Amino acid sequence: MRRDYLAEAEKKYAKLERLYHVGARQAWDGKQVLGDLIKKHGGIRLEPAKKRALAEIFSTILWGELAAWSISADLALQLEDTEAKMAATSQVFDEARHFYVMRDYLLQLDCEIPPLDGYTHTVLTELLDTDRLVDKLLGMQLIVESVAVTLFRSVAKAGVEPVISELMPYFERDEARHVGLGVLYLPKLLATLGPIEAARLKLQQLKIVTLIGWGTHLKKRHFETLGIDNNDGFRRGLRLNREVLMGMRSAEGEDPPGVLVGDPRLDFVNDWAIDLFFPRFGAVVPGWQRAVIGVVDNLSRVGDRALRLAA
Amino acid sequence: MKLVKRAYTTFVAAGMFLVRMLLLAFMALLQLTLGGAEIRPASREASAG
Repeated sequence: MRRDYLAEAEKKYAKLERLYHVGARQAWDGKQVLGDLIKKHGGIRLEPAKKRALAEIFSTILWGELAAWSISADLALQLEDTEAKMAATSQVFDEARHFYVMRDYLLQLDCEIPPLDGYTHTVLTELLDTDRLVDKLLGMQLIVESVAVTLFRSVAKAGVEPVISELMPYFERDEARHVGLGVLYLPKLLATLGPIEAARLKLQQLKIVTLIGWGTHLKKRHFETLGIDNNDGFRRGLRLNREVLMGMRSAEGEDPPGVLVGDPRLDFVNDWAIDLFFPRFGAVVPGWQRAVIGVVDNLSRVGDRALRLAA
Repeated sequence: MKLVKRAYTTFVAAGMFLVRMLLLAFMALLQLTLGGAEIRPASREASAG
C-alpha cells in the first residue's frame, strides 16, 4: 500500500515536471502568430457594434491574463516542490504572452478598452491579495482557467472573427496545462486542511462561482451580439469543471476535502438553472420568462455597481 | 481595510446567491405551471459541445 502511494506521488511529480517541458516545447511567438493571422485575413474586419462587444468580453480576458501572470509568479515563488515550481514558472511565461497578444489584438480592434466589471474585479483582486496557496490554486488554476478554456472554445466555435477564432486554440492549449498544475498539485495541499478551513474553501468556491454567474448576466448582451450561446457555454463549462475536479479524486475515488465537486444527482438543478436563465438561441421563450430574465439582467447591473464601490 | 472590503464583497455575493436561488425557485414554479423554454435534461450528455 505504502509503495503504491509513493509510486502514485512520483508519477504526479513527473507529470508536473513534464508540464514545464511541454510548455517549453509548445511555446509560440505571440508577435509572429498574431502578425501572420492579421496578414492572412487582411486585418480585423468587424462592424462597430461587434467590435465593442468583442472589446467588452476580451477586456475581461486581458485583465484576467494580467492577474493570472501575477498569481502564477506568486505560485512559482511560494510552491515548495521544485517540479510544481517548474510548472508554475512555465505558466508565468505563458500568461505574459497571453497578456501582450490580447493587448495587441485589442489595440488592433481600434476601440476603447472598457474598465473591468465589479464581479471580475472582485474575483481577481481577492485571488491576487490572498496569501493562501490553496485559494490561489483552486480559484485561479481550476475555476478561472476552466472558465477561460470554455470561453475560448465558445469564441472559436462561434466564428466571431477569423483572427481571434484562429488565435483561441493557442490560448486554450496553454490554459489546459495550467489547469493540469492545479489538478496535480492541489490534492497535496488539500490533504492537510482541517474541517473549518475546508468549509471556508468551499464557501470561497461558491462565492467565485456566484460572481462568475452574475458577471455572465452582465455581459449577456455582448455575447448575444457576437452570436455566442451562453446556454452551450455553461453546459460545456459544467462538464469541463466536473472532469477537472474529478481528476483530483484519490486512487480510491474519494473527493478531495474543501472542494465542491458536485453531486451528479443534483445535475438536474444545473440543467434547470441554465435553461431558465439562459434559454438556447432560437428557443421559444414565453413572456413571463423574458420578463424575469430582464429583471435578472437589471439586478446584475445593481450587483456590479455595489461591487465597484469596493474596487 | 482589505478585511472590510472582503467582508463587504462576501456580504454582496451572499445576497446575490440568495437572490439567484429565490429566482430559480420562482422560475421553476412558473415553468412547471405555465410552461417555458425547453428544459433539456442530463446536461453532460445533451450538450452540443
